[in-house]
Amino acid sequence: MSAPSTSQQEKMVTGFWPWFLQRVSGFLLIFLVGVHIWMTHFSGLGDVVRGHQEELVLFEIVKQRLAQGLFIFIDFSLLALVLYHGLNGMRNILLEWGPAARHAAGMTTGLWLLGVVTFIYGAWALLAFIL
Amino acid sequence: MAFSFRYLSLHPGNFQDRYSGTRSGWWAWFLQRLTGVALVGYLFLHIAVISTARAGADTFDAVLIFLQKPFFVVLDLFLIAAVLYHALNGVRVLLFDAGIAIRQQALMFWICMLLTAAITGVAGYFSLPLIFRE
Amino acid sequence: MDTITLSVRRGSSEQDPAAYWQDFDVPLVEETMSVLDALTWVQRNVDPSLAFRRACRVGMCGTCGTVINGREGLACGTRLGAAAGNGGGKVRVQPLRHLPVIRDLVTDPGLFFDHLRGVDPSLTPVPGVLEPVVLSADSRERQTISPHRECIYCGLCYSACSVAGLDSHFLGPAALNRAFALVSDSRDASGKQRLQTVASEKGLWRCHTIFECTAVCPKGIPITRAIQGLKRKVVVDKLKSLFRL
Repeated sequence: MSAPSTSQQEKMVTGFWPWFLQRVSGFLLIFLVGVHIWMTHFSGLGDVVRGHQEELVLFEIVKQRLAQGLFIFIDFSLLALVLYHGLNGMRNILLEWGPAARHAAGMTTGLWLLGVVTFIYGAWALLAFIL
Repeated sequence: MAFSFRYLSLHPGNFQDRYSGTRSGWWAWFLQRLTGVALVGYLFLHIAVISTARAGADTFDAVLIFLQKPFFVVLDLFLIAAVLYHALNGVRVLLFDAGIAIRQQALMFWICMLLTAAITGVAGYFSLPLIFRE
Repeated sequence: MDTITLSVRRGSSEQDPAAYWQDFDVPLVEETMSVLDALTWVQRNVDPSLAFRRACRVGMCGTCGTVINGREGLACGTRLGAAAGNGGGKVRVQPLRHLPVIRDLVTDPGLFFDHLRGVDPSLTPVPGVLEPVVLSADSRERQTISPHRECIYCGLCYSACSVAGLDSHFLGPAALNRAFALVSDSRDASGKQRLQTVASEKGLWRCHTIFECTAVCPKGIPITRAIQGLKRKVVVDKLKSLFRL
């Protein structure tokens, strides 16, 4: 229960970019997630209900969708932005939790690593439909 | 119990004592965190499921057919509700950051709740054939 | 005469294993009787060892802040009868949260004032100006800063803030509100520096617009609006410097 003294107080703007980019990525995700959910869960709903299509999501359906450049762009930006937004949000929560906040720099590096590795893994999975 | 609430970044202290009564700003934040954490968890599961495509189209289809059984369609509705709330409350916070509607924060919270319920309801209605199919 | 049950949290600290709730039956002498009056009545008539702080008794000094029925309030500014109505016939009084309890309702506000010191809360005069500065009452600037200068440093906002409860390093609402009042004031010369101090991981960016501070402020200060105002100032500064590159 001790506050940092004035001399220890950082005299520079810190934490602006994580805060700002959380808002930018969140704003973009509204549209990207909207399109994603609509395309995967609702655009083919009528066909499934009428029995023209067995399921909403199957390998061949995803493959056809990802044959279009637009959806390749949407899916890869979605993967990157959602990972940034999600892990940045986790960082926000952890910064308010003493034990993690004491190692803020290491925690941030760890989350970046997790994000990059997950992006590579996710991209590798997506490429199964494209290549 | 106290520790788990604290870990979710909730207020320490007596939960019931403090959060009886309408504190819409607090509930808005709490639900934003709760849905945020849940969605991060879902994100990793989602990537894991999609990566089964690497094991071949047949494996992917087998997994996906299983995950489109009625039980999972119902779970999907919870997912849609979480995404909707998180996005709508995100817009609410963006407006505050732009200096808009700060005085009407409680009203804005209830609009978020109402829209979440309404749109989830519509999505649920259209998903009924998937929930009650053979 | 009606009596009201005043339930007081007693102990030498919040973690004190022997801390307990003690009930007192207090006569409701007048409709206008405050929670502070009830505490004073108990101290004078039942238990002189009951510890609480007060000074002015008229809502100006910010000394008697407590948590009444789960919600922060000035004991002098909360009517006993109304509080009993809200609390189901009982009025529960606790010390402020997030500050160490010294005894009963008395907390150590050191942390709260440390944070206030952290934003350099005094006005830095513009060098070379010797005459009194005129800032007319109807000017836009005056109207912007006026409500934010009403703070009596009672600590209710700090106690109500969920983030302050999680992270004792967070500057807290009162300090950020004070920073806003100074940064928005043309008579202050160190606005830029002060803005940099609050735009940190332990300052502005920890505020999640929960509005608890604004809800409990006994002076009705729109504290969240001040914090949002500071955020916008930083965003504008940052984007300006970015596009000048």
